[in-house]
Amino acid sequence: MFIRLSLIGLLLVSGTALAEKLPLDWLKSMNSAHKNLNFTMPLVHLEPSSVQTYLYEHGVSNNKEVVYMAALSGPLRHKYRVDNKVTYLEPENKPYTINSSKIVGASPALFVDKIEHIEESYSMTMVEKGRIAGRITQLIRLKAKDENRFNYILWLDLETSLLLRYDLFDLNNNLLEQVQAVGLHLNNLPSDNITQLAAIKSDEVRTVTAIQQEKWQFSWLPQGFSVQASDSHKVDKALKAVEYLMLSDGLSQVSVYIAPASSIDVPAKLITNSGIAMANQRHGQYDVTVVGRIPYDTALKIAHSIEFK
Amino acid sequence: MSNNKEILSSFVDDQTLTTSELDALIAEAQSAQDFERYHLIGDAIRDELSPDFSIDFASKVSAAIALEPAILAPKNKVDDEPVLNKTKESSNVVSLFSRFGSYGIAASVAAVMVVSAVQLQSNQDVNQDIPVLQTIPTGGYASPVSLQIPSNTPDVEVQMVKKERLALEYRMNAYVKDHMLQQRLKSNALVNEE
Repeated sequence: MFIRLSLIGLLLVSGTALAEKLPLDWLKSMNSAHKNLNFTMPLVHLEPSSVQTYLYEHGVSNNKEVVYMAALSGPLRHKYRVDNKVTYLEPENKPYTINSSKIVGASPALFVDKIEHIEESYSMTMVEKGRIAGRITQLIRLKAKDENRFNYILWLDLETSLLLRYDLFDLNNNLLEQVQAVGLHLNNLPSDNITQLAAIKSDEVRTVTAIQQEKWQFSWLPQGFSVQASDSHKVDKALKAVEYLMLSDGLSQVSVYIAPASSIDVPAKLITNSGIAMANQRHGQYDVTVVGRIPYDTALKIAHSIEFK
Repeated sequence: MSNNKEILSSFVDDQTLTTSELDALIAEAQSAQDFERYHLIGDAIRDELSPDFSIDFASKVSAAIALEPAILAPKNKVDDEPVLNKTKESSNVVSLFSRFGSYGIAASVAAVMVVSAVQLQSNQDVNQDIPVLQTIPTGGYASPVSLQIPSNTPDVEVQMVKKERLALEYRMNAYVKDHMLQQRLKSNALVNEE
């Protein structure tokens, strides 16, 4: 009897605790869950043109944080991060390692350590409960505060706060991308794979040799966006070097290319089927191309706003 | 024809066929190729391909796909031979790209189809959208695909000579791929800023 009562008491306490958890609290506990838990998560990455399945593993071994992500179908393709070194192994290229604290690309850890950026650019709303990978989840909607970026919905595991799914929608609410776990295995100890990765001698890091350039600036940028990097590099062996700037609002990256004007008339608007917009604009003797997964109108405005320093 | 494929498919799946169905298959030259292909697909699904198969296969597939009509293009007119040849050449050019530099990005991740609309900057006051660019993501290579232009818009044909269009597709695809690659290379800069 006493046990039953205390169980009910526990339920009540945890019930009220959950009810009071605000979106921000959810994001905070998501951060810590994604950094500290040992788990394995098979997932599906969906885009309008492709479906790919991945195995996503995370663990802490020997005080090293390890993330491992591998494509489960098609050519063997994997990437892993040990603390601040990310290694990409793909059939097309020699493996390479980069200094970075993030694996770039679709991943359940996309929103980890982004609270500041999310708060600046999005309003957060708790929506309802849902079920993903057989587990109960809390839905949180990230609605962009302006029309310069796309909207997300997040599904967070009620028990662990791990992100089990996110959807990316364009301004017309078309689904551009979905990452969804199909299972979640929580472990007390890191998996063998994670332990092995943590133990291997760290790979030699390659540094990028690009010529720095600081010729350009923007008279306008969307709220939250700033220049993260700028250099001059070749985008392709067959093409001449271009001047390059990378913009980011923390969640999405935008590339700006400045090339000498070509003789060919470039279409002003191109959109890939995964929602990457390309805006082309001629500035005198330069062609400016803005590429990124942002609304086309925003990309065009960025292209308009570039000017000599 | 499609009926034959159905029969063939069940034959490959070890189902018994009647004599007339078998005769129909033998009579059609296409069946032989389909037969081979179906088995190949079966092998691939069961992961029974020989080890040296995959990469070359990818380029063959991409070359084959390059010959397929663009998805959003109107179906009423198939482009003429010379364009198809050009497409093939350009697929070779793109495969060179994948060996470019010491860094790379998986083309199947990077090569995104550029299918959507183009606002024509032409003399006419057009708001109509036409498909212009397309690359196809397959096991590692991207191939620009020619635009198929409906015959009733001569303006467009005049505006973009085919060769120019290919060069443009090439450049735009290079930008998209580089955009994906730069996100990796510069991810540290992004994180440091936080």
